Amino acid sequence: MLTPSRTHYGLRLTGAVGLAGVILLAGACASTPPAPTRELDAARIAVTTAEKADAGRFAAVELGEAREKLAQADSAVNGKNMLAAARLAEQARVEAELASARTDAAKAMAVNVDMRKGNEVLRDEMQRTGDQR
Amino acid sequence: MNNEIFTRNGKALGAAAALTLALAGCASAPMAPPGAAEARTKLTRLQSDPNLAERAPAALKDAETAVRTAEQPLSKPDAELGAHRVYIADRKVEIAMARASTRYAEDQRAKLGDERDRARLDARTKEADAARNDATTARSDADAARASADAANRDAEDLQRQIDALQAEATDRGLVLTLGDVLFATGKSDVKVGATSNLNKLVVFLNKYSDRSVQIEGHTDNVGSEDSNQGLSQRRAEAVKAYLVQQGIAGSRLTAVGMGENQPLAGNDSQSGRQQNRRVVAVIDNPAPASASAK
Repeated sequence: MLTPSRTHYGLRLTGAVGLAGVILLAGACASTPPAPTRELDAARIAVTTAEKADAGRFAAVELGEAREKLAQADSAVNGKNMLAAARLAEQARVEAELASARTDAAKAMAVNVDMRKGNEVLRDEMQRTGDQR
Repeated sequence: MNNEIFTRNGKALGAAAALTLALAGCASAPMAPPGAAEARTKLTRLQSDPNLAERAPAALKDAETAVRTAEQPLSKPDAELGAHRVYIADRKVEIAMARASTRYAEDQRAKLGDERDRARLDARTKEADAARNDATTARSDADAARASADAANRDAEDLQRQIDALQAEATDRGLVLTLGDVLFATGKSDVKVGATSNLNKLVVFLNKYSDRSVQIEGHTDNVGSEDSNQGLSQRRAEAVKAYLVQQGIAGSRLTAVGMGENQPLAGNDSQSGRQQNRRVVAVIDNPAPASASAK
């Protein structure tokens, strides 16, 4: 009678220890999560870079979304949801990089449009001078 | 009995567990998250665009990695991670596309620059041609101006020669030509034959300068009554006009006026004085446009 009873106790003890371990682990995760500083900094730098490149003019939608994502990341940090904060920060960074890339593209194309227009004007003028003679 | 029940129950439990496991397995079978396929399609399109594929190798490599990550099968609890990966992949593909477009635009600029240079060269060539033409035109304009200036000078010299020949005096009223008394005998108003050489010079002048009109004024000395002298001066002026008309000068250009004895040039108390006072004076108008342009 005693022996099986002991065995039973032993099993119970093991279970209790395991459960406590799981609870402890979960508790550790929930109570001291490190803020994703690296991702947040990278996102902030990317947004600033886009702003300096005049993305507000050439890629306003993308820049707006990057700012929005960054704000969401910050509030996720406040809500202690660090996984979400890290992801939102990365999304903000990539979105800001897209804003910069599209700004560069828009500027490059604008230069070409100007050049093309200039060439047309030149040709038109030549045509006119040609007609006058 | 108990054992039997246990066994049956055990079997039932086992079956239920197996079913649950199978169901759970079906529901959470790892698969690529939604949107990953679209990201792949977009990337493939970019990679097969001949204008863009080669123009942003680093960004394209990044995009490829991100898409591959997004395509990794995930079980249901990881849906958020999947969505995150798809988001990142999609944006990286877009970034690659934008970078490639930038590069493409930059590469095209060389071509546009060549075009512009060609256009400028053409324009310069045309300008040079035009300038050459303009120079030729200017030269011929200058020649024409010089020619007309020469002509004007010649005309002016001509006029001066004519005026000199007439022995006329340039005054505000015009050219004043004093014909003297040699034309008429005392008391007579018909022009003496053989005394017309001065008048003929006037005819030549008026023929040459057909825009000028002439006022012909008759003057007398104080011999005789004032009335008769008035009449005589008028008749003498008329006689000169008649002579000029006879020589072909239009009568409309000629006005004859008798001034009588009241505008003597010299004293009437000597023979020579009276001779100076008996005279016909032709006042030739300055042409209106010429005097206007002179001012």
